[in-house]
Amino acid sequence: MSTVIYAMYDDDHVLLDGAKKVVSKGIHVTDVFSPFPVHGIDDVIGVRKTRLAICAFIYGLTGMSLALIGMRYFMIVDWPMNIGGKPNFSLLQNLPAFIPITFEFTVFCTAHGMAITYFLRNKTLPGMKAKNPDPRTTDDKFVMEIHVEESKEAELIALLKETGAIEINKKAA
Amino acid sequence: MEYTFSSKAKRFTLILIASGFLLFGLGLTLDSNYQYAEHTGLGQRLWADLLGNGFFFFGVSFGALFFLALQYVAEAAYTIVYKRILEAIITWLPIGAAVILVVLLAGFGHQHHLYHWMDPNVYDVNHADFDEIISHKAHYFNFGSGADGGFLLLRFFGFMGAFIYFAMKFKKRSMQEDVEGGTKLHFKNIAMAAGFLVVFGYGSSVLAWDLIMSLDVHWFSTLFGWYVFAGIWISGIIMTICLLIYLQSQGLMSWVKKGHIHDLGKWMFALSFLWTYLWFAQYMLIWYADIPEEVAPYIARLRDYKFEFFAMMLVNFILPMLFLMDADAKKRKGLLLVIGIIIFFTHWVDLQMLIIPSTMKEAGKIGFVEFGMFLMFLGAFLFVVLRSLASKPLLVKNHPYLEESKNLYH
Repeated sequence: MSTVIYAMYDDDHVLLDGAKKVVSKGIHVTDVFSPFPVHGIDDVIGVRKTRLAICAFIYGLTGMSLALIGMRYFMIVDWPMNIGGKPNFSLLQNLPAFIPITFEFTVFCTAHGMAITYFLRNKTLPGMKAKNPDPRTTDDKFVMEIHVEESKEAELIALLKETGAIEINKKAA
Repeated sequence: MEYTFSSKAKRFTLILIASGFLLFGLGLTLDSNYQYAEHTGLGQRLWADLLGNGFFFFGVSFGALFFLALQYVAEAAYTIVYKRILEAIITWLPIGAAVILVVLLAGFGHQHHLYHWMDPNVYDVNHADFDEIISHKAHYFNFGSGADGGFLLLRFFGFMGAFIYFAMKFKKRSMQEDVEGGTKLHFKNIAMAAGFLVVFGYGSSVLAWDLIMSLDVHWFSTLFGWYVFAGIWISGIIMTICLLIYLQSQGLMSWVKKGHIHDLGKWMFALSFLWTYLWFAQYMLIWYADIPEEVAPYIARLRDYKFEFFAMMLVNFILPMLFLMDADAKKRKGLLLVIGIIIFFTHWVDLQMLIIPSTMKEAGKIGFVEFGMFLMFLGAFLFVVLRSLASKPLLVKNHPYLEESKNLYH
């Protein structure tokens, strides 16, 4: 039988030092909840490297291709338009005119795709039920989540108190 | 910890100069039957190359000087641990300025015909060579009615003098700070750097117009100054990265952490985009508007230098974009070094593309002569910079942000 310990801190530096201490004892910190990104915490608790960048690249590539295919169809194939005498029968020769829109659409798709992926992955899309252990972590408190065996519970709580936790809550896993 | 300019490093710079000289000689021999166009001969080519290389390496140290001043004004700590490298790079500034001055003075002495506006006949209504557009610009270049170039030289001496003064002062104050300590000098430096940036804002653009844009004296582009400046800035950053990696390979500068390298990698990545953005903004507007007097220089480049012109743009843009996009890639020294050296060279090609088509018309090329001169300049540049680097401790002593900078990354 194991329990989940939530240790609450009121300062990000105290939390960071606390996490370092806990990790150095060989205890795995499952997660940290904070109102803003705490610099360096992901390295300390060993969060896996994000794969969001790969998604971003794919979204960007999609946006770029869509923009180019779209403009080729609208402006070259379907209805070639004579704008200031620019070459209107070739995508490549007219490319400079298409670059700004290609760029904008690439950024558009990348940004929206990344934001939506991020919300989906974190299960924080609008309307989804919040899953953070304590609503105060959205204001000014920081919470460290640790899964621990019941036998080692008392030892861990003592350690957490020592690192400056202001409040400790337990929950059955 | 101090850097000693070892005989091995000295030999390397001398080999660069010697191989440059050999390539230069080889190029001259191979091109001995080369057909130059009318008005442009071998002399014109060599002067154009001298301007191109003089300005490029002047730009490398100018970019470093700008970056150094920027750090003071931004009150940033992350560059302090390798600040001495920036201070070493700006040692070249007066030499670069001197090379450009020699080219200008030779022009006034009619040793070459790089600058069309230096010909007194173009201002003379009764002469066959009279050029109405240039004569309207006469007061931008000259004081009198002839081609005395007085106003241009006044600007040149004024701005160059100011830049060299600031560069010397920054270096001197940095050594003074090592001895004195305290924050008084630091606040004075911030004020001085702010003053420098004002002068720089005007001067960098004006120098680019005067020295490079006036080669195509009929033509003008409002963002030309920024375009040249973006190339200058990234060249300065790349030189900093390369020197830093070299020093670390010598077992020095152990206080520069991966995070500091990452910062410089980010600059290299971001500035590649700045440069490409400006390249494209200038190209597309002129291409789209298609006004005869604006497109003329581009026609010269697209007709006779199409490969060099587009290849250098694509390398400068796509190489950093593809290889430096990833956060981890910006921390890898080997990759930064390889990409850095390649785009350092292609930014050199970029500057030659601003100069050679304008001065050599269809007869110009980037051949062994140009490569040779580039290597000679690079060797001399590295010699001066490394010697300056060896003359001082590699870490500043009493800079107020030193501790913060050291402990910024783990």
